[in-house]
Amino acid sequence: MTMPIDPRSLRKRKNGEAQFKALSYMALSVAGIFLVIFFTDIVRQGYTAFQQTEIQAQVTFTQEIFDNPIPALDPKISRLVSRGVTRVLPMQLRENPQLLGHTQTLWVLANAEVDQYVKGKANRLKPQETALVDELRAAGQIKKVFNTGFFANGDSKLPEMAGILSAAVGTVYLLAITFIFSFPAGVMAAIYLEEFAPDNRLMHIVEVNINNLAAIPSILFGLLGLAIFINFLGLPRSSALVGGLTLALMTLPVIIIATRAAIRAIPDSIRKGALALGATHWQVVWDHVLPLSLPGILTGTIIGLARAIGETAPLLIIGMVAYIQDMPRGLTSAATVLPAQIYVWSAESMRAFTERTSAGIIVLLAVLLSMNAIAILLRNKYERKW
Amino acid sequence: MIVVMAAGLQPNLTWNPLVGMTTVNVRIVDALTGDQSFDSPETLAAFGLGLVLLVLTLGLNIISLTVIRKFRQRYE
Repeated sequence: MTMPIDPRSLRKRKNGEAQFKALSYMALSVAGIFLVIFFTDIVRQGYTAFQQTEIQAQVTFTQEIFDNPIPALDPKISRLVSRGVTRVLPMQLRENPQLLGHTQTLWVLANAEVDQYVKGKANRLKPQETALVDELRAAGQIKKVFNTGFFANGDSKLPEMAGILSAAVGTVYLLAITFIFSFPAGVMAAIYLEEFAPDNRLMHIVEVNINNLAAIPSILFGLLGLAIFINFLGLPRSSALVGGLTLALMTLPVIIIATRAAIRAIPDSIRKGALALGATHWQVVWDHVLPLSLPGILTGTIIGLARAIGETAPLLIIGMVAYIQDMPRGLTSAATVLPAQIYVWSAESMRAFTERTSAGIIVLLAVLLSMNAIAILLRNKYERKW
Repeated sequence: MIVVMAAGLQPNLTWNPLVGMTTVNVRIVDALTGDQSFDSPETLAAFGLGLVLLVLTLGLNIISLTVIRKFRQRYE
């Protein structure tokens, strides 16, 4: 015997489902649209920074170039070249002393205003200067080349000379320190909490606190770093060591939570089987639980480190968001990181820094995207169903 | 971090979301990014604001963990 179905009620339920589905789809679309807008805006503003304008110039190398290189250039174009040549030309002569007394045709960096004009962006060139640029361009004496300086230079007050190298090196330093300090401590703490800790009130408080640390505004870790590492321990301000330690504190709870989840996913039968064969508790953890949960642990670690890479707020407090031109020469010398560099550029008043800011964001996004992709690949490759 | 770039520094106590405002985060950054000695009132105020943030998030986390413990279903 079948139940009689009321067609009206059935239609109503099906309509309800269709509406719910449409609503969910709309929510997803809104998120997708925002993402697309964000990406296109960043790329539209930033892709031009990967090209740089250069001007062909006749340079006569004389002894005077060490004092003032500007007269060595054709006076017609000396207004158009970057002030950075005052540093580059003497350096070239010092490296190749045989150039002395010779005239050479070189491609030198154009200044930011010319660069912006050639790229069709807002600039402050005077009409006769734009006419000159157009003339040189028609003669093939101005060209756009791939902007190697962006990847080979440190920060600079001249937009055309500014690059991300020092920030990228600083990021690598920080990431290494963060990993060294947070990974072992995080994994060991998670093992203790999952495998050995008694289920009592104290552990409950510890759990609440770990969850809390993973959720508090990251700026509080900056306060902690300032109070403990800089003020109490006296470690040097702005250094990669302090930055890495601060980010390690921030990453630690993320790693602990991810590791606990990975360990909890291992079925109890594995542990009981090993125990039944006479293994000690530690042997069970080391030989069975850890190897089986390692993919999950690594995934969580990579995601935690990716979060640390993009962090600026705690670094702002410990003085790493500053004008730092050179690569860090050690763990205790002043360093800056990619997001800090982006933040500094975003506050610059010169228009040419806008595209650098966006280009920096593109680089940072590419790094983060590849890290997260690695995490997902790891998870998909080693994921096991029990 | 985004509030440091997007929010202002006007301490208006208002329900109107269109009026300029500031957040605890922004105040902390503002108080600590300058030249001052460590035990200056500004620095101490920043640490006080940090404590407020910490206590607020701790309260939220205690609520969330209590809810999870209470309503977590065990199917196996």
